[in-house]
Amino acid sequence: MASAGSGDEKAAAAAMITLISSDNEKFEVTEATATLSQTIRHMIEDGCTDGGVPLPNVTSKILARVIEYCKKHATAAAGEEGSSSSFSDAAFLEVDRAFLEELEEFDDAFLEVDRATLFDLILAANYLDIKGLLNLTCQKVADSVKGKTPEQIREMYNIVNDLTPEEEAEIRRETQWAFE
Amino acid sequence: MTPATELLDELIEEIFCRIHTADPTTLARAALVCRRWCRLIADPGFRRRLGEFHRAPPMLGFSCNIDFDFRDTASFYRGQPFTIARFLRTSSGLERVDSERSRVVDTTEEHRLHGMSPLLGCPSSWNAAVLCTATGCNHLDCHGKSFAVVFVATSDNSMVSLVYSSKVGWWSEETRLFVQKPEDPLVLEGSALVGNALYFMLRSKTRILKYSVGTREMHMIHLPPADFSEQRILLMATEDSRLGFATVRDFNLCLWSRDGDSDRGVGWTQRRVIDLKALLPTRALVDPTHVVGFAHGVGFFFIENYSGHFIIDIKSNRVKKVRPVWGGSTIFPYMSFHTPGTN
Repeated sequence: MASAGSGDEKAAAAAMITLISSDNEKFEVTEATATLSQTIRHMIEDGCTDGGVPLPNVTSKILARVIEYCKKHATAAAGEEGSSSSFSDAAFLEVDRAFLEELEEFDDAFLEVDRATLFDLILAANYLDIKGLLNLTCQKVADSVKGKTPEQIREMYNIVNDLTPEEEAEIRRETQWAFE
Repeated sequence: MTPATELLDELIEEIFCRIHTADPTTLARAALVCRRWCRLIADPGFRRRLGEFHRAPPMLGFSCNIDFDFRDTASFYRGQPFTIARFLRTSSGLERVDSERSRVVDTTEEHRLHGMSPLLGCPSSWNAAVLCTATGCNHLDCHGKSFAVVFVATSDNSMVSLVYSSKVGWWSEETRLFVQKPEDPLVLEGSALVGNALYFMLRSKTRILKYSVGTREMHMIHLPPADFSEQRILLMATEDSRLGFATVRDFNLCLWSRDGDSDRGVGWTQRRVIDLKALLPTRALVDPTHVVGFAHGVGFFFIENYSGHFIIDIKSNRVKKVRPVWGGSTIFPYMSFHTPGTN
């Protein structure tokens, strides 16, 4: 355990946070990973993370995915901080670009989930206030409706059409330009 | 499972915001999905949020000012109702002279601008511009806010201006600028708002009428000393808030801007030349090719010739062909939403 290790290890161990999902599963993460969530960052700042952080709105399945995202992007954030001093170093920028591409690939693969999971991730990203994840997931949904007809959108997202035929005709008339 | 209906309004708005500005038709279609989506998209709060997210209103479409008789001065007759449409309908035949964000001066429908004709009589040429006058407005969505209509016209040996204020519901006293060449009429094309001044094009294409919004004074300023008589000139505000204009010469879209406030044609610089030959399909490279519209903020230019209309996105160098329209038209993009129940 941390008490037997060196000072550095102690610091690292002290920076671990326990997140507790709604179904009571515990996840140990580094503070750097956890603080991608503004919600958790504020809790850490307020010193109320002892004994773990209960997240009653997030299931273990979703929390595991969120942590996966945060781990990857926390590394990216650390890389960005390091890179600012050597901005002119072309070789470094080359490496950086490779890493950014890797990050994009990670994001693409991360989004390969069913729609229900995608919505759960949006809810979790919103609750935990993780801007990057919220942007990523909302953009995925936005892209999925691009070029689709209202009928196709309803079918994709199980939405019941509660517009009366008159209302529908009126909106269609007003937005005719969008259907030409 | 979390169905779409369980997302909070706020999160649905987050998603709607990310529908790219280049394809606003998606948002209009989304309004037809269900009552809740329609309500959210129509909501002024959402439109404000959308504007803040993209920092420029999306271009939703455009209207054409088609003049079948090939007259390029508009008729304005005593007693003819002069009105403002707060949004555009897609019905044809309306004469639009300006679209400042969401508003369009229109010679038919909606709010009548009472009492204009007795003040002005029957001018031989005129133009108008709509300005948002709401304090603290970021002009990303000016729907339903106070506005002014600046109306300029030629009359005998002078230029006359009148301002309609929606707060007052009436016209200001007229201001006049005496001119030596009264035969140079105003062209009914889009004006440019730069800083606190409006600029209107004159037929000779050598001069521009400058109208200062604060003082209501008018001045004439000169275009660069080149022959633009065969070209359409489109006035615009540049991204760095200068007066600029766009014109097409030899299949080059040329963007000019004016440095400072000097007057006699000096101080104009051609800032950028976009080679249309590299962008348009070969069969579309026909003379005459004109620039007929510009969507502020998003950097879309409308190019027109006999083969049709093209939208050129100068930020990404993409080109899109739009419905073929011909007839000396000027295009006014509209950049704001109208959905039922919001007017």
